[in-house]
Amino acid sequence: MDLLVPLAHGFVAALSPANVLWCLLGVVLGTLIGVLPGIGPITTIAMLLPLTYALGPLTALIMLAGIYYGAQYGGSTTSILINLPGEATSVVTCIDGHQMALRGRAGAALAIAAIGSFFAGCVGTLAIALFGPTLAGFAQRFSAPEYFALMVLGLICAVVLSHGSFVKAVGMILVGLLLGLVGIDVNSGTLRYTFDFPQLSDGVGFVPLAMGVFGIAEIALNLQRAQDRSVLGTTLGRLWLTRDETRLAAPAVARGTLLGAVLGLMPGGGAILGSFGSYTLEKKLARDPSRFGRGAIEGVAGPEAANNAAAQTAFIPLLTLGIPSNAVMALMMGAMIIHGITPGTAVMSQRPDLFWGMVASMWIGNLMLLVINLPLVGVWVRLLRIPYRLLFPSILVFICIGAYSLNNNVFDIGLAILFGVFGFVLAQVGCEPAPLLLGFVLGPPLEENLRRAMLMSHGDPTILVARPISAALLATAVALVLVLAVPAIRRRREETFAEGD
Amino acid sequence: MGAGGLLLGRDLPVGTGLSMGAGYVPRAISALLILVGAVVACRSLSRAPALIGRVRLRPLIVVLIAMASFGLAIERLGLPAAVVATVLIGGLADRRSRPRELVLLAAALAVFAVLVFVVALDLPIPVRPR
Repeated sequence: MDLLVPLAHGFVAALSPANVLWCLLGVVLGTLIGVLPGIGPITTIAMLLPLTYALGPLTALIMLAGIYYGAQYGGSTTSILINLPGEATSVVTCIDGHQMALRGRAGAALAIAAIGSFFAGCVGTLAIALFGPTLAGFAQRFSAPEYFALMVLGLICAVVLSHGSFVKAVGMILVGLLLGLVGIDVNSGTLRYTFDFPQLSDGVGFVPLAMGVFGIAEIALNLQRAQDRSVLGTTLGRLWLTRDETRLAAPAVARGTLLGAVLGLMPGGGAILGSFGSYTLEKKLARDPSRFGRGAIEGVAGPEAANNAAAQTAFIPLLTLGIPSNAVMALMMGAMIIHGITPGTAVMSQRPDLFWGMVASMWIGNLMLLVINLPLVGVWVRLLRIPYRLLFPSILVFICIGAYSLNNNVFDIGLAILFGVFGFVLAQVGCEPAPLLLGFVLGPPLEENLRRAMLMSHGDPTILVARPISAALLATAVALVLVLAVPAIRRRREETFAEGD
Repeated sequence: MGAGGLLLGRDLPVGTGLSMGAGYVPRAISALLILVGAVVACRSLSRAPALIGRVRLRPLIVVLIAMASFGLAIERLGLPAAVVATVLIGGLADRRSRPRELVLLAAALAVFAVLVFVVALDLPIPVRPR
């Protein structure tokens, strides 16, 4: 089979001692920050990105990816034990997971979360291996107009599926696009919006932006809220599931995996939407929906499987089309560019080792996570006792070192401070920063492809609708916007997100 | 921000659809941004005001000062001093911080940072005061 040979090569690459070690480091770190509320994968990846300079591209991506899906495992532990989501993706796990813990079934809740995540991770990885090459092959026929249309569709999807106000999300994307244009214009060499800072001629630094808008703003907001968390005193109970629990949880895991895998592909949705959607689905399907909110195991199994499946399949659009589907993927895209790799169809044809190595490493990483999270869960519980007053100065130090070591330049720290203020203001007025980051990374390629399309058509904008694939993509984007304008659907969307509040 | 984009980008050549100048896309985005801003403003004027609540600025400002101190210290005084300064100043952002704990944390992080980033990862970060 033509799938097995490259996959075998991938395993050879991923199983090199260095890569296994960095993968382990990534997933352990991911679990750690997943367990700890107040620091998420976005901040961590942005912080560590500059430090991966010394590593090879594959090793760096393996580690950074490990942080992301590792956090999906770790987040559930905190949700179940202290009713506080370790990660945004485990918000719904709090509802029934913590109820199970209060009933002495914390061990079972943790077990099904880890097993469900592992199953979903395996299926998600398989999905990347199966559909990645097909999609990349299809996308090879794309040229500038199709790419432009695809990016527009991606950005629109991100808006439709994001939390909160639709118009504000559009605004955030536009601000991101504008920030992405700072620096030398590649076509004419003109400097744009650099305010005479030579450091800005290469554009606004990706890392300071992400650190500021996510990391620093997050710290300031957490300190503002100022409340201490208490660790659950009760014992974990047995880790094994009873037969009844297994019977209820198994189909929920399967459904959650499927839902998550599909939603992970879509821009903007990913892991968060997967977990919310799965919870709603399980509640609808349950024979007795009133059990939900009182410790229903499906309410843990489904969403946990869904968020992990989505975390894996979210890599598909990035690795095959060069379109990041969420803020973490935008960071991964930044990491690839820093390491001199252009994300897109070329990854598959020119660097197959990179694609298959990552796929293989994800499976290995998921296996590691199962071990790290189940037998060793006690270690992570103890970590929850670290108070935030010690945690945040440490995060601050790592943010500073990360920003500085990017170019060994104090300017980047200043930039991070500036974006920290900006991120804080955004949070106060209810604007989500994730679309901003997507707009930021997609800004330059969007402009580039639009210009190329216009050159192809000698300045005739109808080329965007005259070519069938590009027309279909743009039509989908327009349809999505129209659909959202229908009040009934808008209410449904708000309900889905309100479920976890 | 849209207005700013138009204003600052006013010198950039717009060009034509055939050969877009450097200012074409920035102008388009700025214009859209003004539109979105207007929509948000109109919608919020027509609705009951949602109060933002009292914003406590102290944590944000202290955190930013701590970061700035890192930036000022790193090239003159080196990494350990910069880490200690960041932790000690940053600690003031939280009222529950305890001085002794902070000093210990600062020392531990300074040692850790030098070992990991300079010794192990071999990053060119200045360590000693210059």
